[in-house]
Parts: sequence; structure tokens; C-alpha cells
Amino acid sequence: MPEKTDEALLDLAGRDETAFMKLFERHREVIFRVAFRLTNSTAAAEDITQECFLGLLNANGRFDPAKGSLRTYLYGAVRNHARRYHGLRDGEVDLEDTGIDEAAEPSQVFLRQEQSEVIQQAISTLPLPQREALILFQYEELPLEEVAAILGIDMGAVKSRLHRARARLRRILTPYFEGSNAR
Amino acid sequence: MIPSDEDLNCLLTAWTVPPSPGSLGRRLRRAYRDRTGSRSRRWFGNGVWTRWFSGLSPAAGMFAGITAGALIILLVVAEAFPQSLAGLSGTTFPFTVDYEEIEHKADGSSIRELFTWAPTGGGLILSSEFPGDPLRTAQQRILDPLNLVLYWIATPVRERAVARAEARIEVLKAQNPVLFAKRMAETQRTCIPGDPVPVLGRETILNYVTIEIQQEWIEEGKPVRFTHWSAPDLHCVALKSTTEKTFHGEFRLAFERRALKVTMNAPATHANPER
Repeated sequence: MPEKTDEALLDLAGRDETAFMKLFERHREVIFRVAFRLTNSTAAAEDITQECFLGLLNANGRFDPAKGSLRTYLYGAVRNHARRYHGLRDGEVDLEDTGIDEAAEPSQVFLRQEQSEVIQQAISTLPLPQREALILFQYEELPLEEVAAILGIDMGAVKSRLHRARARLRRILTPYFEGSNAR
Repeated sequence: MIPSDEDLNCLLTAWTVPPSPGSLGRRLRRAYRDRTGSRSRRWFGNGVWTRWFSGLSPAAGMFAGITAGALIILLVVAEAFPQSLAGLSGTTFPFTVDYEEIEHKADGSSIRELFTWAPTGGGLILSSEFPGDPLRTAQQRILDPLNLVLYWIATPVRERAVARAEARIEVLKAQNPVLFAKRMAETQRTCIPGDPVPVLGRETILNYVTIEIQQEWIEEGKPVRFTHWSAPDLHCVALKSTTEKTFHGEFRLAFERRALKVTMNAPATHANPER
């Protein structure tokens, strides 16, 4: 028997727990992963993942399959919840940096830590709009136009954010990169 | 040296993300049921069918008569069943715990339930009462035995689910026995699966050492605080728990559960040598 589509499961989700949980199982890892990357917190990622899926119960009027897949819709939801987590209202732009001094000497701490933590820390220094763009494009491997649709901006703005994010990461990670090569 | 695009991409791939915790599914399922008012979880657990009948029975003549007749039959049938999980399911459980649970409703009313629980045996409501509402409590008393019948009917389904879960555990164990053993040992010791959660304290309840853990999450946009006292020697079953929900910005007790009695039917797998 063919698997039910996301749309068919979504139609049933409000009255059929099995359908709802099937949708959850289908997308949980992706949504949790993005939520984790946007918040750097397992607890927050769990809360956000839960709210994203519960939000599907009221998504009938808002989710339009013609505009994109359910996964794209969930990406948008996870992003909105993450923004609330960071204390931003819808539409508000976070321009603040997180206070890590890029000009600091190559950090010995960086050199000692696991690579994963280093990257996580480096990305967490990015302003949220750049982080969102980077995570969706670099880690979720979404095409630029889908990233633009999720973020509600044009493709030019996505490219600009990605460019600035990568430039900044290069600067931050240069000491680590040198350290890695030196070993 | 400034890393090239390729070097940067390579470096960025090093950022790994932990898998979503297994408990997330259970949390979501609970929240889904709260959100939708789904009763499926309570069919065999919390006496929803009996309450449904109790709402209907006084309503109309003939239906009430038929219902009352059916109930008498049920009572007779229920009396024929042994009122223990082991007797109902035919399985000998290592132990059973008898609980009292009080649900505090937003309108100030409450429901008190007595139930018994066993590992892999699920829970069985023994009786329910509505403090301050003697008529409803009396109705419920008549209908309580229905829970026994429903539990007995559901036993094969539950046993199949347990067998499936055990098979999945065996697969995990076979895939990485060392890691599995390490995780199991740690979980058994602390009763904390997955992420490290601060232990608030230890308390002895019914002669079992328990570990107090508090967890918070968001349900319907509001924080929920769940505090439980779990006993490592009893497969980490919680001997006491409270669930607080947010009303007007403040936590308020919504559920409280406490163990009244632990009955050991066979030696526990992780007995406390100090006891």
C-alpha cells in the first residue's frame, strides 16, 4: 500500500493521532536539528519541535501546498519559534552580535575543543538572520529560492546574508584552521 | 591563512547535532491528547468509558434501563475477575504499585483515582471519586468494575505492544552492546535518560530511595513543570509526581500522584543492597 502523502496525513492529523504521529516521525529529526542549530539548546529544540508539530493542528488555513511542501512550512515554523526563543517579535531583525571578540588572539580554547563545538560556537556568534540563512542553505541544503521563501526575503538578500556569514566565519575560524593545519 | 571556500565547507560539516530524544515523541503525544481532547489513551486507563456511561445513564428511560441492566451483568462479570493485574493478564509482574492520583481542575473541582500499575502491565483504575459530588461518585462506584473488563479485553493488544518494544530494545542492544550497556547502567543509576538533568534531591518513599527530578516544557504556549521522584530500584518508576500548569502567569498544581503501596512479587532486578 502506498505511503500517505504529508498533505493526506495533515488532513487526518486533527482527529487521528496515528496520522499525526506519523507526520512527526517523518519530520522530527529535521525539525529538531534545525531548532537545535538555531538555539544551541537541546531543551529549547525539544520545545520548539513540539510546538511546530502542535501548530500543524491549526495549520489548515495557513499551509498552502501550492506554495511549498509541508517540510518548507515546518522550516518556517521552526524559524519563527526560534526567533521568539531569541526574544524577537515577528518581522523584527536581530542586528546585534553576541559579543565574541573576533579580533582576539587565536583562542587556545578553540584549539582544545572538539571541532563540532568550535563550529557551533563560531556560528552562534553570527547575527540570527545570517545564521538562519546559513543553516538552511549550508546544513539543510535547501535551494536558494526555498531559503528565500522560508525567510520571507528575496534571493539577493539570501546571498548577501550567506556571503556575510561565510566571511565572518572565515575570520573567526582562521586561528582554528591554522591550528588544525599546524598539528 | 584565510581558509578557502572548500576548507570552510569542510570545517562546517564538523558541526554535528544530537538525535532528537526518544522522550520527545511521548511528550508530543501527551500534548496532542491535551490539545485535541483525544481520549484514546484513557480507554483502558482512566475510566473514560465508565464516565461516559455515567453521564448518559440518568438521561433517559429506556436507554437508562438497558444501561442499568448491562451494568448489573458487568458487575457480575467483573466480580468473576480477580482484581489484580497479574490475575487479569495472566502474567506475573516483578512488582506492582498502588497509587492515588488527584486531578485538580481549573474550576476548583477535583477527581481522585486509585489505580494499580505494573511494569509492562500498564495501569488499571480501581476506583474514582469526585470529592464534593456524592451522586457522581456513587454512579462511578457502580461503573468502576467496567475498567477491569476493559483491561482484560485490552491485555492481548498491550502484550503485543510490549513484545514489539522489547524486540526493538534487543535490536538496539545488538547494534552497539557496549554503548547500550553503558547507557542502561547510567539510566538505571540515575533514572535520567538522555540529557543530563539536575537532581534536586533524594527522598525515601515507602522504603525506596528516590531521585527528585524536575523538567519543564511548553504546552500550548505555556510552561508546564513536572516533578517526579523515581526509584532506581524499581525500574525507575516514579513513586511520587506533581504536574504544575500555568494559570495567569503562575504555576498551579494540576495533577499529583503518590504511591500508596509497593508489592514485590519476585526479586527486583536491581535490589538495593543497603536495604
